[in-house]
Amino acid sequence: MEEILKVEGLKKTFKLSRKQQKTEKLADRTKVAVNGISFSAYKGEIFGLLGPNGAGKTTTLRIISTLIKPDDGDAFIDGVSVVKNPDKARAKLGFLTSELKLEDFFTPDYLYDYFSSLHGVEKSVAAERKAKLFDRFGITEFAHVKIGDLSTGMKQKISLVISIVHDPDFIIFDEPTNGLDVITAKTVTDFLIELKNLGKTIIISTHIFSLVEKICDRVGVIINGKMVLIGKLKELTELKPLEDVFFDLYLKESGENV
Amino acid sequence: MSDIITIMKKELKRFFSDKRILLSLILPGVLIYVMYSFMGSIFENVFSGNKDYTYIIAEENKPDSFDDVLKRTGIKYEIKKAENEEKAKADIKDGNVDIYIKFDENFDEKTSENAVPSVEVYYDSANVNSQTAYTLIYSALLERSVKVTPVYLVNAGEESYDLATKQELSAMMITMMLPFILMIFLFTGCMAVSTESIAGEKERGTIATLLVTPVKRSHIAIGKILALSITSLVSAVISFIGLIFSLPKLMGGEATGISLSAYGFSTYIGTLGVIIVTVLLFTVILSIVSALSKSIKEASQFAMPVMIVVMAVSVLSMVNQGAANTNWWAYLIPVYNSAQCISGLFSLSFNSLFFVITVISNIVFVGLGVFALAKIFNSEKIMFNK
Repeated sequence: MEEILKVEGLKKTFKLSRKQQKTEKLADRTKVAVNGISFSAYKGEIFGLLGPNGAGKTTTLRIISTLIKPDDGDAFIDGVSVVKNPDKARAKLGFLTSELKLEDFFTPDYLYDYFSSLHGVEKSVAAERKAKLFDRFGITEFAHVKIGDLSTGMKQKISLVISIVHDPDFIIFDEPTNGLDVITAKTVTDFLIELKNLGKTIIISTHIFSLVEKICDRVGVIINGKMVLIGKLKELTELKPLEDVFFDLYLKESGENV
Repeated sequence: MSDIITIMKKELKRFFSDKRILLSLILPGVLIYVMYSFMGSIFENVFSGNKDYTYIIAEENKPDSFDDVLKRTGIKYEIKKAENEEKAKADIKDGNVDIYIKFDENFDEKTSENAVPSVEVYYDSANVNSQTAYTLIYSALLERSVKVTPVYLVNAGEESYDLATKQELSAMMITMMLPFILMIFLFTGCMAVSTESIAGEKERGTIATLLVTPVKRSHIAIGKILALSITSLVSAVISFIGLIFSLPKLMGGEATGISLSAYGFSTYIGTLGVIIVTVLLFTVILSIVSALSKSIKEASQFAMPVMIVVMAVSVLSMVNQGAANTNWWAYLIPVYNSAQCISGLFSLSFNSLFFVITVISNIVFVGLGVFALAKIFNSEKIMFNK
């Protein structure tokens, strides 16, 4: 199997404000968000990062997507270091977060062209790809409608399309179906499977077990900044459902009963 | 380079295609003109009298020799005999009469006998027309009084004792006010678009999508600053035009001799140059404020203390009656240098060295600001800390 992503010993500690320290109920003003995470993702697979809120999933994905730098460790996308060569690494990845809210003023058509241009996609290639993606997601008839006038589901589809304007081989989705209605969520998950079948490597972070069970090939469980389990979904769920596997681990690692 | 243009085009499209934003750019300039012109006409009415109004004067025992005194006030008036003091006072309160002048009986005879006759002038200071009539008539009576029974004479001749030319008077009055007002309008114009720009991207989460593109951070900063500057500049130029045409009206116009004819084309070109570098500087400062903020609301709150500093620095231009600073190093201080440069241009004492220092130093500050903004884009703590 061709290794597309290699994550080696990522560590990240955040300094907290007094307010954050109080909210997090921590003894000192630092929080270890990621503590030595290592894993790999291979060509044509969907890798799911599973964990509770605040476990370190988003921080891990932000490091891989070059948005933040690790204190230690590195990640390599197709052999390119995100620490030493972030500009080159960015050209190889697509990134989508559920936090993204596109500007109401623009149309899907304009935003697609804008991000295509920033990714350096040739105009004729961009136009052809735009037509395909818009058609695939039913965006075509809304292509010239302002984002502000579209439904939440349509906005999320447009965000998804915009994150892959440059047809990257490696795609990161942070909580891809968060806040979506069931129909849009299905469209998105079906598309992720389609992308996988096209040979793309996808990493998703989520806390939705059913989503992982439906689309992921392999799963990594992050609890308190540590990767406590990595394995093939089929092997992990041979004896019991993923949810039970997760909560057994959670009890063991955090000492908290749910 | 194409990245910068792409980012610029997108920002400009947003500003110039959105009717609400467009209106917020144009409206201040139009409002300045309308508001200051209106305020100017009110002030002129108060100090010079309303030219379209006929003031009603009630009098008692007015000697014929005083007709000339009333004519010198320059107002239109109608005189009527007061029936009695009580009725005249009641008429003033009712607004039927603007002013009541009661002369001593046999006023002129008493004057020629070296007696000291009196004049009593009743008015209603709560009524603008009555107050204006009082101000003008009182000073005309006072002037006449001094001439008739002088203790000594001061500037009693007919010639003008003020040696200032009309140009100099215009320059002094305009330079006292213009730099301060202009700086405020430039800053608020920039604030309207700049505070939202980066903080808005952070709030919406679009900054992450932008930062994972292969575009250099410095190109993102330059693209945004250029687009914001062009937008703010449109607002600034409209505000400047509105201000420059309304300022003489605000200060009394023809009555005070303040006129724009004192300035040539080069003054306005020089001013435009100062406006451009100042707008660039304000845009950079506010973009940094915006980038350091977590939300648009926070950015607006942080921009307020910056505005107070700009106001405080600009108000220094009013010191020394608007005369520009003559120390070259003063033109290295941002904001102050722009205000001083405009003072110099409009006080007709333009110094090209100071102008060049101002332009170059502001461009250097803008360059440093762009560098700082690119660094901020790289700071995960600032960009992603919630």
